[in-house]
Amino acid sequence: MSAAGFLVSGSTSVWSAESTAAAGVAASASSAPAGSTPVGLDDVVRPFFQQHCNSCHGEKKQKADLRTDTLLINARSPKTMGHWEEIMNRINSGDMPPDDEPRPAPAEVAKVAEWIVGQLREAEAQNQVSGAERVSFRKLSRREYANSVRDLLGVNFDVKGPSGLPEDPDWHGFERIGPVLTLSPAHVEKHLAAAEAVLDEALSLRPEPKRDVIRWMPFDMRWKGFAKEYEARDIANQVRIEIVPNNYTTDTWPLEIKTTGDYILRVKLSGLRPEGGRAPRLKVYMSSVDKTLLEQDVDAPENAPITVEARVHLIAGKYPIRLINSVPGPNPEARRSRHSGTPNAFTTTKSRVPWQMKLTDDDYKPIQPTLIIDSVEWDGPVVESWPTAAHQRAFFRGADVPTQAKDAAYAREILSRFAERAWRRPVQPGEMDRFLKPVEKAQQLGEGFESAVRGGLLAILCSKSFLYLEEGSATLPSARLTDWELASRLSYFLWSSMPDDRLLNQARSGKLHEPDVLRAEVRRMLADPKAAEFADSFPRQWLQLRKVGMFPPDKVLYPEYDENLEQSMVAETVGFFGEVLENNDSLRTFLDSDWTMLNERLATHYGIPGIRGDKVQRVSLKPEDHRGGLLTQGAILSLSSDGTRHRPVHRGVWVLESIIGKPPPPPPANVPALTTPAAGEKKVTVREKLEQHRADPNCTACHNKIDPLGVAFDNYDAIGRWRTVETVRDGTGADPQLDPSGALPDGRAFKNGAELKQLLVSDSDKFALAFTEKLATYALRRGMTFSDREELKQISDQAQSTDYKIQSLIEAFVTSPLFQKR
Amino acid sequence: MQRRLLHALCVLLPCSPLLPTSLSTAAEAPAATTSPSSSPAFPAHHSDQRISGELVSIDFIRRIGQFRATKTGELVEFTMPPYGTAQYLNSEASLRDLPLGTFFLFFLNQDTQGGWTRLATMQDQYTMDASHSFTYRLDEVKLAEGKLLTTKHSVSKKQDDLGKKELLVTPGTRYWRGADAIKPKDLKPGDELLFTLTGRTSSNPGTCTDIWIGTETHALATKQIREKFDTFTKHRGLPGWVDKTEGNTVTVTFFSGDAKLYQTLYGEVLAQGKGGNLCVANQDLRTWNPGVDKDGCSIISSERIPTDGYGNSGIRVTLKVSNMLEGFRKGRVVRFFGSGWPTKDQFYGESLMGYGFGRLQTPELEENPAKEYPDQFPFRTDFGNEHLPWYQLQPGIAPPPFAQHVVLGEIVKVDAASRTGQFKTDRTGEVVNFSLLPQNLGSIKYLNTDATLGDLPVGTRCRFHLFQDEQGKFTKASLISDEFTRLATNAMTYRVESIQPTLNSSDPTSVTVNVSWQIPEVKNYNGDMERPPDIGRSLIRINKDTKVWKGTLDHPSTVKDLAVGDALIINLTGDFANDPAVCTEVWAGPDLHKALAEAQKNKAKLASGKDAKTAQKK
Repeated sequence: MSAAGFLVSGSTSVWSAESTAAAGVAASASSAPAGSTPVGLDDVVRPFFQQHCNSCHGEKKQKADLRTDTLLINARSPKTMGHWEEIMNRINSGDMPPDDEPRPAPAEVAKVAEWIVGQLREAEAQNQVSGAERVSFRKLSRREYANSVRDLLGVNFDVKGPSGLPEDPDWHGFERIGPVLTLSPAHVEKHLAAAEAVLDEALSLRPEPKRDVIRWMPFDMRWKGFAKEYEARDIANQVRIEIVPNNYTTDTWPLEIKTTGDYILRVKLSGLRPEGGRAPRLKVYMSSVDKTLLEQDVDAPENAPITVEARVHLIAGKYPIRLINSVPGPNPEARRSRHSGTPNAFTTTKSRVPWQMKLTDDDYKPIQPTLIIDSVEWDGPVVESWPTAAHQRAFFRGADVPTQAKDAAYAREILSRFAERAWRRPVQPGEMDRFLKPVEKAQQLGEGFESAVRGGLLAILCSKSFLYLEEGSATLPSARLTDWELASRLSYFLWSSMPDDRLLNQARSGKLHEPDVLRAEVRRMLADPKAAEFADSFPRQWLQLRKVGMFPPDKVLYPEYDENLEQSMVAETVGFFGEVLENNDSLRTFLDSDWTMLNERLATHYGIPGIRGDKVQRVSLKPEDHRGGLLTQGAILSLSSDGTRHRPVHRGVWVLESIIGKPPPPPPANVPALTTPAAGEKKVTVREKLEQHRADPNCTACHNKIDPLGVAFDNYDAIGRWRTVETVRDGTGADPQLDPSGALPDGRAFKNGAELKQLLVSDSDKFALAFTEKLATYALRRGMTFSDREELKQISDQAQSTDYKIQSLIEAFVTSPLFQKR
Repeated sequence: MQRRLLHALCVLLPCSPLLPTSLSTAAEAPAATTSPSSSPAFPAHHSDQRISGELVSIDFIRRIGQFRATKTGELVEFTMPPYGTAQYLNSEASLRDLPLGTFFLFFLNQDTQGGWTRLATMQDQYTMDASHSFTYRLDEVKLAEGKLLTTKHSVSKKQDDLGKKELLVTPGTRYWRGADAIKPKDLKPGDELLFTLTGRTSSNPGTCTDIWIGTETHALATKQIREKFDTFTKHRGLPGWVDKTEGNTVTVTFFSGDAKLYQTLYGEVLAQGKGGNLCVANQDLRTWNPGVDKDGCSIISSERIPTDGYGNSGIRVTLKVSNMLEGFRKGRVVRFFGSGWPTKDQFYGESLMGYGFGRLQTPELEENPAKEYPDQFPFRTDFGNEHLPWYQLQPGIAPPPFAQHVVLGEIVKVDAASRTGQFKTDRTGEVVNFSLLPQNLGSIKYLNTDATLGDLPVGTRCRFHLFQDEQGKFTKASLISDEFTRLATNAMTYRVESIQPTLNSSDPTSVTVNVSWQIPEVKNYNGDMERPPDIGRSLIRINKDTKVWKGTLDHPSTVKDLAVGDALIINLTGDFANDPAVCTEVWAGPDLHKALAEAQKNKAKLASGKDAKTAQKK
């Protein structure tokens, strides 16, 4: 009953937040100066309109209800900006001016289109700025939600699971942009269910969970009918389970979890690595909920098994568990891997059935990467204390409180204390009243004190102040953050989670905004293990790494490509960022470096010998490795390719957007695909095809800026392998040699990607500015506007004095006015 | 001595050729799965001992058999290694085409125990003569005396007179000219004869079973057998063993008893550039499920190698396979199906998997884990692991399957009260004192029903599942069962093919029954009931002391009541030197078998009721 009662209360509070936010936007839109005249309108755009548009869309005629001679920029007006977008698309595609009118020069069109796209972006960013709102709300991403409930209640909630939260949409890779993250009614249901699950686990309102071990032994898993016979043979303890490569459709076992919680998953096993080949790779996978619990290479001799383990969060229920050897291998059909009814259980590699896949050579040395399982254990739920720490903290008077002391005042105090941490700010007088109502109601209906209070806690977890980062005050408007707001912004920037007690205390003291205090806090927070969240999350979003594998490479063209390689590519880039951050290296390192982070899988892919294990490690590079910096990393090269070939244009756009910070205009509609040579014609490179494409004057202006930045990395194929010749399917003759040379729009030429990188390094100030903008977008959860440019420049200039060391840049940014501005 | 004794205990009886022996396993050494790292090798020509005798039984599926030695009259077991072949009518022949009772020369190599049991090849008289281009020119026909007077000679070698030879014929002797059977009166002096023999002993030259007249007839006879063998082989795939594997290539040397013929028949199929399917097989040349297991392959090299040993076809090929299977391992046997050959399963019972059919009701034909996967047994078995000690009984604990050492012997005496007794070991006649393990671990099966020691008639040959006692002797029995039980358990019956007086027997009442071993009908892929091909053949003896039951259990019948086509289940005596096994009882007809099974079931029920009452009283 109390839960039902609270549901109304909780959801009401959420919807209040939404409506408040909406009201804020509307209010600011009306008060914003409309129709200001940006640079370029009068000298670039209007002359173009005058010459090509106004005769039909001017004072005398307004075809399609559009008038271009008086059209102004109004960032707050979707209708006006919609007109501008339409104009850009029409002139870009050649629809306008119509065929019977003189054609504008392509360069002219490009100039106007570029100007319009800048205005559109600016408008978009301006609409994300909250300063004009009295109160702004920035929803936590699901990753931040998970981290917050972990730090608040000690529960590892699986937000990606089926009972988790919806995936967050992104804006140019960033998954935390305020207006982009919305809360639909379906989301509210999810949040309510999530909060219920979190509190059930966090509070000790149920019988103490009994920690137990579910142990799967070989006879439980595969050889059920043979147990007695093997016991009689006296070799039951030698029986194991071999798992062949690529066994995605076999080897599934049911797991029943009775109590939700954290479990230690332990697998004792051997992993046979063929000489010169890859180690087998264990993947423990919950197929029904598409969740990987554990995945790692296993390199352990047949007679010396090891135990690998992982702490996993499991929700009560029944699951089919697959033990997969996820390394690629010849397993064309389950027939070659299944087992016969003959009592021949696996004890050694010599006990294979003749019609099964061969795992060892004639001398019984491994030829296939094979896993041999001894046991699987599910040990849990792991409960550090009972009652839980979260329970003890919530019901702070302890377990022995007399019944009469469990009164409304105690309930109020419990909720207030909890809310202060959950909301990351002091609770205002009277603010708890409505959260106490479901508590009282539940008690009236006969629920116990703790259970009733739980309803109040649930409402707090579903309230706007927990789910949103609130900035501003309806009564005391301010352009700067309060110290409480600053603590949250900083914490969600570097930890993707709520502030810790120390940071909240600094806010409480009112000194947090002081540069020295802030700088000390930044250093402390970067040194904290929770900063791993920033090291992981920021590069993924800045570099748009979620696009890696979005178009999986064709299995026929790229049979080497597998899930492990994909993960290793991302691990390199993320690990590279983490290493730069930890060592406080210069931002230049991102452009070029003589080291990178590799594991065995990726090193093999790059052709770099001597690297073992699946954890990425720092590896020195030689020039002949053709690697260094972000631009030659597999993840970057592959996310800018498609499933069949490299895409120089995509690569160029990516460089402009992520490295140079100047994204080009979107392509016009109806761009024809690159042509393939007719039968009998000689093979040509993608570059040569692009050059034909660029011969179209409508394409030249943009592609001159884009293509060289992509073509420079033509020496890397769609999955990032180095090459000097492009493999071409269509056409005749030998595969053509690659030519990665090119020139920047300012005329500086380069012979290849390595030289381009040097040009980019020589423009470090531009990269630093672009990087700072990305950092600010991530931290402030909005796009940057013209009005932010000067401050961004100051921050990056300030970092120049420290040779653009990354931690120094972060400090400069956090202590800048921009960071504290609403 | 101990090993010799064990060897002696392991031997087979005429009517139990399915019984595995340590001899067969020991003899597998060159190609055994237990030592795959050793390269397989064919036994060199003239490394064998040649013993002549009459074929008494043959197990088509597991390629084991028996012959009665011409000189000694003793029964000799043989095992055919994967490369072992049979020659009949001057052609390599399927075991199914070898007539029992025929005189052969057996080429035997030694097994690891020192016994001459590994049959490299066998040749009938026809082959022995024809392969040397000898024929017998008919000089004179003396049918009244049962004689044909001939001169042995060789036309091609221009050896006109290699000695006079008197061929003995009987009224049962068949004469062939071309494809037709002719009458002896049609024989003409000057006819070129070739023949097969039976009944040959140290004192009897034997009589002709068949005589082929004229060189064209000889060519035809050989051709017919050769064509049957070719069809037989193509149906199952060309067998060979793996010399080595490397990457995705498998190098195989094929088996043949006639390299020249093999080249003619299969040289083109095995040429470089040809394709086909490669299938895994076991040491008995049985396959699991070629229809599914087949692995597409192409021949990347094909070479002629010296045919320096028995069974070597002289063709070695290296194949590129699409999937490297466990059975493609040095020393293992594979079968190759040429391009366009149907790659089908072997017949039900012969196939190790029986895919698509109903459950196999013959456990003895199932895949034998002790034989196929000896590493899965930490003790010696009748099928392998000779380097390990035998399983040692532990008080109160039931021994695992395949731990027992199976010995055949005739019950001499029993003491049901003390659960002890004596049996006379087959062949050697050695008397062994045995004791049955305690109640829950030791049991008796008689007429396929739980029984007591007292139920076993003295003089019945039984199968003893034995374990070592404290002195290491095999005297502790976990199971004692009669031949009836073995046949019933395996759903096998002996179908009568012919009944004839026993040749060279001192007992005028003795008849020899030629029986084929049949297993029950099963549902095939289409759901229709189908009788699988016979799985073996043997000669059994019946005499005046044999109790024959046909149609009813109320009163016995006589041997005269038996007819061709009758399905028999039998019990018999032990088999000893100069004292061959004789059936003690014969039950004929499926209806009678059913009635007997029912009666035994009722008897068992009654016994268990009595046991229960006794227990209640106690």
